[in-house]
Amino acid sequence: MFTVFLWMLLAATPEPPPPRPDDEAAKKRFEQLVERFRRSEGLDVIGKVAQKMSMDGQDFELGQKGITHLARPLHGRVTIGQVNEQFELPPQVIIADGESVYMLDTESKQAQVLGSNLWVPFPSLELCQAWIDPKADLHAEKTELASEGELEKLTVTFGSGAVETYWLKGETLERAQSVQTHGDQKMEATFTFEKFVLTEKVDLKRYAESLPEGYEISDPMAELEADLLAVGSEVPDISVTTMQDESLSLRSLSGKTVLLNFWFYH
Amino acid sequence: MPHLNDLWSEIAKTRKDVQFYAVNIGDEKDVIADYWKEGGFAFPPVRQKEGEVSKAFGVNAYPTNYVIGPDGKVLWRAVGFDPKALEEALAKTAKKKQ
Repeated sequence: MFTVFLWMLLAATPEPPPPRPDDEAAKKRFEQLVERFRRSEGLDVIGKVAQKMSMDGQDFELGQKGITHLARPLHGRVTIGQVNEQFELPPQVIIADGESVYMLDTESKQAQVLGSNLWVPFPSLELCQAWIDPKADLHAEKTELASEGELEKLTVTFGSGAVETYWLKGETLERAQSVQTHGDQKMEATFTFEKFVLTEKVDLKRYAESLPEGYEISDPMAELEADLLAVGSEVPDISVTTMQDESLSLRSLSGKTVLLNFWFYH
Repeated sequence: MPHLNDLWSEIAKTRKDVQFYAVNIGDEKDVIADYWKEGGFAFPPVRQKEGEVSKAFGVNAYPTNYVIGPDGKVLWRAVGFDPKALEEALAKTAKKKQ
C-alpha cells in the first residue's frame, strides 16, 4: 500500500528541465568573472551608487561616490562620500596599513580599528566577496546572460537571495545593480563606474597607506576586553548560585574543562 | 543561547570532562527559568549576587565567554560569540584519540 503511494508520488514529480545551452554559457561566464576577481590582488574603482530603500513602508534614497584603491593583503584606501537629501553624513575614510583596517574620523582624529580582515564597502556587491577572500564560496543559484547594445548583461541570483546584474564590456564592469529583499524591506543599489580595474600582480608599495599624523587609535573591542582576566590566571575564589539556590564554588570544578558564558536576558 | 546550546549538544556527545554554565547577570530567577524552559537548553544557568562574579572576571560586555582548564586556570576568553574560536579553545583539553 505504502509502496504504491510512494510510486505515485514519484511519478507525479516533474523531472527538472535539462539546462539550456544559454544557461551553461551564463554559468561559465560568471565562473570566469569570479575567477578573475579571485586571481587579482589590486582593485581600483571609481564610481557612484544610487540606493533606494523601502523600510516599514517608508522610502529612502541615498547617493554615494566612492573611490577604492585596495590591494590584498590589507593595503590601500576607500573613500565614500555621501550625497543625500534626507541625512547629512560625513565622508567615510577607511584605510588599511598592512596590518589592520581603520576607519578614520576626520573630526575627532580617531582611527577606529575595524579588525584585520579586508572588506570592501565600495562597491558592496556579493561578487566582490571573491576578491576579498579568494576562498569564498559565492553560491550562485541562477545565472542569465543577455546582450544589451555592445555590453554583456549577466544576472546572478545568489543563495543569500540577493540578485545582482553586471553590465560588462570585455573584462570591465561598466554598471552593476544589486537588489536585496528581506520581508517587506527592499534595497536596490545601482552602481555606475568610471573606472573598474582588477590587477593580478601589484606593487604593494603603491597601495600602502599608513595612519595620517595626529590620529589616535581607538579599539572598541580591546576596551571591552581590557579588564578580563589574563590567560593563565587562577580562577577567582568565588561562587555562583544554582537554580536550586545552592552555592557552587568555581574552584570546586577543577578537573573539568569549564565554559562560563556571561549573559543576560533583559 | 540557542547557538551555544547547539555547540553544547555536539560537545556533550564525546566529552564527559566538559561542563557549560551560563552565568546570568541581573535577571529575575523566574525570567531565567522561563527562558530556559522555552529554549529547552541542556546546560545549566547559574546566578550571581550583585554582579560580583562578572566583576571578578572583569566582564564589561555581554556575551563574554571564558574557558577554564582542568587546572583551574583561564585557558581562553573573549567578548562576543565566535563558535569556531570557542570550539578550538575547548579542543585544547581534549584527550587525544588512540
